[in-house]
Amino acid sequence: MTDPAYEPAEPAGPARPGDAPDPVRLVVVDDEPLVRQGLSLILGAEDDLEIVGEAADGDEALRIVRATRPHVVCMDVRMPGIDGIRATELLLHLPEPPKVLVVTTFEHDQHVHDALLAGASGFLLKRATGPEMVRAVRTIAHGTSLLFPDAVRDLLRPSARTARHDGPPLTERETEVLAHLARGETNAEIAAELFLGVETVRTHVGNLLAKLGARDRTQAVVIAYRTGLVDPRAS
Amino acid sequence: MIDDDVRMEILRRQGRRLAWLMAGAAIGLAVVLLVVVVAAVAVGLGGEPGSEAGSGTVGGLRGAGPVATIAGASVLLAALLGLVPGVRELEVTGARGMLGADGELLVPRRPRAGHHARTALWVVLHLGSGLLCATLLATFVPSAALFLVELAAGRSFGSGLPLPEGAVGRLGAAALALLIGAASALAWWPLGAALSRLAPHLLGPTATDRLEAAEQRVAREAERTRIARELHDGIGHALTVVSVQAAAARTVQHRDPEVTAAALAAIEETARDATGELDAVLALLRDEEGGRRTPRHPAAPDGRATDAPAAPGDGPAAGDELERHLAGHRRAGMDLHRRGELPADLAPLQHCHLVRGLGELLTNAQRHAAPGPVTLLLGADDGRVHLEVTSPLDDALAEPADDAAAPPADSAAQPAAVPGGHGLVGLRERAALLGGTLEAGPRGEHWIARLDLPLLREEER
Repeated sequence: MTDPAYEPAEPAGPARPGDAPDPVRLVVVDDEPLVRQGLSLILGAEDDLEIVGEAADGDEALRIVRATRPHVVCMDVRMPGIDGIRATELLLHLPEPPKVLVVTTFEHDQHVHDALLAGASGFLLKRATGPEMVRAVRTIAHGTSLLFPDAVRDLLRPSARTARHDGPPLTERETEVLAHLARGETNAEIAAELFLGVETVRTHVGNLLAKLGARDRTQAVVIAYRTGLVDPRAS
Repeated sequence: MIDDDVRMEILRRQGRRLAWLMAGAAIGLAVVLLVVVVAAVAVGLGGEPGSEAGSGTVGGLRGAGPVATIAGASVLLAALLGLVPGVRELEVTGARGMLGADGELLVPRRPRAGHHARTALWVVLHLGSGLLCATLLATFVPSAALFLVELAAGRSFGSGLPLPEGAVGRLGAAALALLIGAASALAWWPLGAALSRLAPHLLGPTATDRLEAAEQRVAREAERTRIARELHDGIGHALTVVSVQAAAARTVQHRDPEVTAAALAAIEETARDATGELDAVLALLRDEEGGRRTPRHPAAPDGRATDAPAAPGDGPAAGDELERHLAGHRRAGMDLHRRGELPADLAPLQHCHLVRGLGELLTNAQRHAAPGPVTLLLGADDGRVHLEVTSPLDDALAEPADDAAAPPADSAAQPAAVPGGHGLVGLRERAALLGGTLEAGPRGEHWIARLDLPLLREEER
């Protein structure tokens, strides 16, 4: 339990692990029962994770998320009816949206790219090991760092600089922090590299998320790549 | 050294080209002689007692009219020669090996009118150009030489040409004779080159051939897409299940032996099903490979051709696979009636498509239809092959079981395969890729699904 990913970055989200933590509430969505049940077994075995619901398609996912209010939804992409991408969009329009972790068979998949643009907080390969899956869910839940920064960069490279950032401009420092954040660094790591205090970095991250209108680090990086604030080829 | 080699090769090539023209001349001469003899006999029989043979006449025929007739008849005969089976092959071989024609030349397996016309024209050109070259070489060249000798000697040796007066006239005549002689001696060179350029246009693939080849390429691409999709949906999916379940089993192995055992059982079953599916995909690939080499592929993919009775008129693998599907569904309790046959010479790949599509439609019917007889209608007409499944409509499903979004069916050929395939959506996409359609919907008290594809016969592959 000394995982650096445990350091929470944002006020929103589950409580810190230090003070008698509430478990992270999870919903697993996959049309294949064996995958769904397998994911639930792996994730549910952890003390700090709790499976509060399962769904076989997008419709059911919306229903269950409304009823159970999970922190994180593990979402399959290709499903009959409402697919994972559309479901992600719909979920994120809920009043208190959960974070969406897209679970996919193939990494270089247009669907994953679409899901990230739809607002997913990260993605996970189904072929990942159990501990990797658990780590991914924790990272997403606590928002401490970017999940698979290299893969996110590769996925977003083709769509880079297709959007404009209309919000308030970022300061030089914030842009610098954003570039580090895009490399998947935690606040502590960024603080060490930029010779800043962790609290200062946390403030910068909070400010730049607000300025970009981003839900979390992943979405901040998605926006950064798409608007050209950070060059995906440079990092 | 290299220069010498290149020069030798050029010489050899021109030699072969000349030989090709001379062969044309020989056959052309035979054709002309045959026509002349026939014409002479015809004229002789017709009886023109007053006519006499003399200079300027051919076999008793006189004037330009008969010469034109003979030329026309010779051309016609040469063209007919082009229609003789095997001549196309001979001409293609000759054009490739002797004339040195570059580009794509082909012997169509099933020649059409366009092929025949082009072959006939080519034979006429071959014989005609050969005769022309031979005539130039055999008459103009010696005549020019003789005339030059006459000019040098200053008296006639029988060329019949008048010797010009004066030194200037003689010099001019000598130059002209040299020019004509040289031109005649070398005329075959540009002629052969021009013909070798022309060969691909007359002996190569026609526009229709190219279109057909392109269509076949598209069909093959579609097949590849389909196989990739099958691997993605089938094997990729199964491996995902296996890895997730294995990870789950490892997570709970010390805590919950029962759940661990269940996960292991799921892994075993999934892997076994996937192996079967892999077998089917590999069989499809083997089919494709084999179908390209031999017109009729040998045994069924799973090698069961020997122990299952083939339907009459169907290929061994074809009947077996279709029957196997039907038998499987009958065993599962379906009251299945079949009417009609698929064309016996259906291309194996298309057969494969249809049987797989049928599998999906029947699986769908099995799951969602009300109890009652299911009818399968097979047939082909108008260049299209179709397959129609009629099942009783389940009232409960009548409303939601709309079209493509109907409940997902199992992957086609393997009724025991992992669930979660693409059902009718996938089938419809595949049909569209092959230029066909899938229509499904309620009609009266029945649910009717009809798969319609452009007919691809075996020879056209």
